[in-house]
Amino acid sequence: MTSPTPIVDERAWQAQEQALRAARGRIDESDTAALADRRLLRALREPPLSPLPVDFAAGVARLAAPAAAARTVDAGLERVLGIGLGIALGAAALTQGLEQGAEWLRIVAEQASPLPPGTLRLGVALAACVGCSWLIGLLPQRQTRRSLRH
Amino acid sequence: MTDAPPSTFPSAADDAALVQAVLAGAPGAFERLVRQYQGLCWHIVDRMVRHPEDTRELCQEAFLRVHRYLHQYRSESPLKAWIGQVAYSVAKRHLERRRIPLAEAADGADGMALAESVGQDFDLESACAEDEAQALLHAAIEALPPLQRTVLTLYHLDEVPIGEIAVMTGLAEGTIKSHLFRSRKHLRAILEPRIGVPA
Repeated sequence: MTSPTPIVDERAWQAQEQALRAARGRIDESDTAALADRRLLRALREPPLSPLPVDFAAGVARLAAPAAAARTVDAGLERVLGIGLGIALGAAALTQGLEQGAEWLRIVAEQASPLPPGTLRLGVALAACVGCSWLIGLLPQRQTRRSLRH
Repeated sequence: MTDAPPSTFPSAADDAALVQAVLAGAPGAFERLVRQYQGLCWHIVDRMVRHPEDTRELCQEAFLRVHRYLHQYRSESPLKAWIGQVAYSVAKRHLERRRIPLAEAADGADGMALAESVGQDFDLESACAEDEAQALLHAAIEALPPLQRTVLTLYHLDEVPIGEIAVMTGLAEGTIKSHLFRSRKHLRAILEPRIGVPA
């Protein structure tokens, strides 16, 4: 478990950054503060790292190749299966449609009945209500705009 | 950034083209990607675990993960940050398995006491010389906790912006700055008496 890190003061951070930036260009050995910053920068830019093997990239690529090939085969198989499944479903739907399509149309036609009487009047009344609400909603905005102008 | 020669990382467009090439299975594309980012990945893992053999294995694991999950990469963050994030998480899990504290030393004082103790055993007379001072600082850097070592290397050697270090480590930018500030302050404090910096 890690303890929370105290947030650094922005001015202190900027001062440290500025000092390191400024020290980079100085070569005055008598300025010991700048010398310390310069040595610190050099140490930070040249940390003790273990060497990266020369053949690292090629080795990783060789390791990844079989996995990639397996994924390619899997993806190909998946695509073939998907297409096969789509064709089978399409054929089944077509067969059912040809066999029972007439019956489905008859049932739909029976269920569909004309609109009940008075529907048109109710629709007009609803539209009028919506329109009135919209107009009323506009009124305060216009008054506000007018008062802002004056 | 305090010391910033031109970055060698490719542009976002180059990254996108490389990712597409790898996803399309273009010959040599993945090796190119590894070559491009192996330095960054190596630095992160090496700074975290400090063991050459473990570093090699963990870097391999990180890149195999990158290969496996590359289709999930979205260009919202640079590829560099995404790969760094994978490398960091692989190394972090390795440290957790070995119960090695990420940001704290065994003394519970966030590792700085350990870094300070390095200077006490050092040859004080010869520490003024440039190379000796470097060796002293390197020993002190090595004694820092894994997180601080890694953040210092990412910022100063790989020149990764603080925002991207935050993406890689999952920490807030303020926390990254705090680690950098405090680590550099402690390292400088170790060096100061040896070169006579006035208090």
